[in-house]
Amino acid sequence: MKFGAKEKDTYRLCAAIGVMLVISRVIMWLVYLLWSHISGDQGSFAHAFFRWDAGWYKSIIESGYSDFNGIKLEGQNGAANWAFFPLMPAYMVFLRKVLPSMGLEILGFLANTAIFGIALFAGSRYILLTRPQNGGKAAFCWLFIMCFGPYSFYYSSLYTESIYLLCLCLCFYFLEQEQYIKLGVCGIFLSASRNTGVLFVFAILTHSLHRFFKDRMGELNPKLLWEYVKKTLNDHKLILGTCMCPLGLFLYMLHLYFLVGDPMAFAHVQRAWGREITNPAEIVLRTLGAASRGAVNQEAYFLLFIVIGACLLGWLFVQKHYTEFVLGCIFLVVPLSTGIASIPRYIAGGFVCYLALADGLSGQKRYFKGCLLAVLGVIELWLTYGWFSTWGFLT
Amino acid sequence: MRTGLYQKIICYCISAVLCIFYIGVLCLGVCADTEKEYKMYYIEKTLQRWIGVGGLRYTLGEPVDFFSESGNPTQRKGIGWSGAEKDATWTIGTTATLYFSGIPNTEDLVFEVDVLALRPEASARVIANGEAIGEVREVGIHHFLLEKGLIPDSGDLMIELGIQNPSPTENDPRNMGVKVRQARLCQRGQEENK
Repeated sequence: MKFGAKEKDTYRLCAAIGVMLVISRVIMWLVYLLWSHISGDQGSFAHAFFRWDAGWYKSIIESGYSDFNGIKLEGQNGAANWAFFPLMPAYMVFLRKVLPSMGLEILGFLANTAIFGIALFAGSRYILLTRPQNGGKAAFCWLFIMCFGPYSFYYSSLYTESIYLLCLCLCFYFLEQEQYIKLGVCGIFLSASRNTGVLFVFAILTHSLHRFFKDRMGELNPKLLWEYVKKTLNDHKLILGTCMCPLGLFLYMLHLYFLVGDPMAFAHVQRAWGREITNPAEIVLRTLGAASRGAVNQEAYFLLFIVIGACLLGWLFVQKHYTEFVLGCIFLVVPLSTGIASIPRYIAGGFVCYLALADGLSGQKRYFKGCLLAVLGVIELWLTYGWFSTWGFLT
Repeated sequence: MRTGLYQKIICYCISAVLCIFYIGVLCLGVCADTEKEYKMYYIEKTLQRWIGVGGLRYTLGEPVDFFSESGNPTQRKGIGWSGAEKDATWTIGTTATLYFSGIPNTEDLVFEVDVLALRPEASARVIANGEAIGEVREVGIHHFLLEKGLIPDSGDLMIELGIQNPSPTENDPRNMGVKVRQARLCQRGQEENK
């Protein structure tokens, strides 16, 4: 299937997204049936998605952010719900007011899947906009990977992934369109949905640098740099849009200040999960050492993800998608500096790596492309089963 | 023309206000105004475990247990302690700290420590709020005088064991120094194990 950039193709795009989304969730339901048959679990389909951090999000939705009394003394000592950003819980609180009779698990599943559908539309439009040569094929591959590929189940869980993906796709789209005020509004939501969201300001910087210098690299001199600074500062919409992006994060920080007296509580609380800021290279080397000794197999799995992620980012660089490349690098390095365990989720949810994969696959022969997409689909089936079974490396 | 100019001015003003707001929030972050235990556990990372607000408060005479069999091994541990074993806890490395708050500074106190074992060649300087008050060189119960001037008005007290010559064993790679079973602070003359 191919999509064009024209308006008339919007309908086809929506239909394709709808079909893929429904089929992918039906497949997940089949995996759920298999899992419940094997495990003997009597919980509902929506409950099977309600794993790991979903409990933290539930606590925020039901009781808001906790004060000192909500910090765990037993079990996960020192853990509190400040680590989880407020946009998705706020969205759920709103929906619960509209649909008070619906249970949180089913509401979380439906609402996040719906948001995921919108994110797929926004992401596809961005791909069509930025890849005029092979946009249709790339968009199709991207949609397939997002719906059937590894970690797709996160987008239907009570996690922040789907809303974050939507905001990220919209930010990229409006950045490419140079609609900076709309970008700023989406940026506010992006920075309120996950700690890495605020880093989108670097994408704006890269984009503006690339736009200005792409045809003038040969004549790079201080005068030209000054001209760039003047031109950028003179663009009032660009300045305002950029300044708006961190607002979501900073409002959340202010809330934390009033709650526990520490605006950085969302970062400090990571200590309870054993995450402390370290040199990412050191973490990779340490993991490499552990993996080479065969000590921890899941560490090798995380390393594999980092290597694949880095290769995909390299592809974006070669293809001169510098904005995506820079943001992808930041999205890889920043989470890596606090540990390796959540890296697959950050790579999968960070948009650009899967975009690079789709981009690369779109130019391949049909047979090769089909085989690789099928492999990704099988991996997702296995991961979904693992998610239902609460396997430790899928948090 | 004029509308465009107004639009520009408004955009720059909003941007400036946002930047000022961000700087303000960051300043609040730098000088976080929060509870003592929170600061020690999350920010300074001097406490090993989260013990709750007011968890460091201490009543004179209360035993501070370092053995897991007590059912309530102490959470006052800072850096330099291994996990509580059945009978006691080893210090690890060259410094081991303990924290107390709510200590009265109206009279002299005694710090009592029950040392179950020492590594060969190891000894421990006992330091209270930065001032050396004695040394542990052998097993047994030791008493150290804490003059009232050592405790500030806030009632905070940090007892530090400066370990000399810690060492591992053949089977245990931990850099162990002193094995502590119990400690306590009490008024002078009221020590239980003189």
